Amino acid sequence: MMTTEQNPVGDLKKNKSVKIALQMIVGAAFGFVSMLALDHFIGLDRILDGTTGVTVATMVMAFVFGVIGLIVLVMSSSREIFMMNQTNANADAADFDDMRPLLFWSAIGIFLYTAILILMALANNVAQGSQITSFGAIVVLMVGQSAISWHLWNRYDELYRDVTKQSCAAAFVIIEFGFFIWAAAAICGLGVTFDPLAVIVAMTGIYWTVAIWFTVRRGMT
Amino acid sequence: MENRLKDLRTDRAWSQGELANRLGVSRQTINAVETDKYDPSLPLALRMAKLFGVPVDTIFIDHWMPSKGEE
Repeated sequence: MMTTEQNPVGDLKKNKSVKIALQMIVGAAFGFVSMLALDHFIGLDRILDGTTGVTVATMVMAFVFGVIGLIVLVMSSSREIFMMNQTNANADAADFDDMRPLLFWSAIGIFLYTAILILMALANNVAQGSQITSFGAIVVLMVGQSAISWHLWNRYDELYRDVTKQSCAAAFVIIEFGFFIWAAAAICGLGVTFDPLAVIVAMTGIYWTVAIWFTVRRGMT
Repeated sequence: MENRLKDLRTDRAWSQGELANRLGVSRQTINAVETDKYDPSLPLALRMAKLFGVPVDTIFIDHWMPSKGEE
């Protein structure tokens, strides 16, 4: 006999899928509109004129960081938005009070990374005097970013520290293997360039992908 | 590792957040332990045992058995 009994687990999974699908659609729409706006107001041809592929990749990475930073900052500023984003049924309003400082400082850290990436991407094309200024600014931003990472580490409990340690270890293994092969190919004259900007982009991309993977694995979504 | 943390918590009608506060960790940590996504450190496991007034192996269930040669 057919039953009309409700299935809460099934409903939860369905809601989660709808939420993820909606987030993907909103993300894609946001990206599309941003690119259209960029093309309309500044002109993509002007931006891309004379820039290398790796510079574009750095700018794209900076854009992604900027968007993530913005999302994290918005979540830290509103209890309602924070709760909307919770996939865990046990999450409650007290979570927001706990998470708010972590989210806020994480967002600031991500914005500093964004600024560093933008400066690095643009530093190649500026005049000699400005390059020294750019270098100084990058060093200052890096020091600020490291201070925020240290502050966050001190506020983390053991689960967050465990995720950070695992992410660092796994990213190191991938980076060590990949970069040795990459460097060897460049040294052995296989037509591959070991560009510092490409190294930064690859390293940052690998770390963040690995960190997201471990965060999701621990159910911290 | 399998554990009975959720049963012990709900027996006392505590929320995850309440238990997290008593243990000095985040709610996410309690959730990750309850859903078998994270094995807590030994100090945290001992704190849980003290809080619930039970031995650690009542909370965490390990099916490992020594082989005959190791007994």
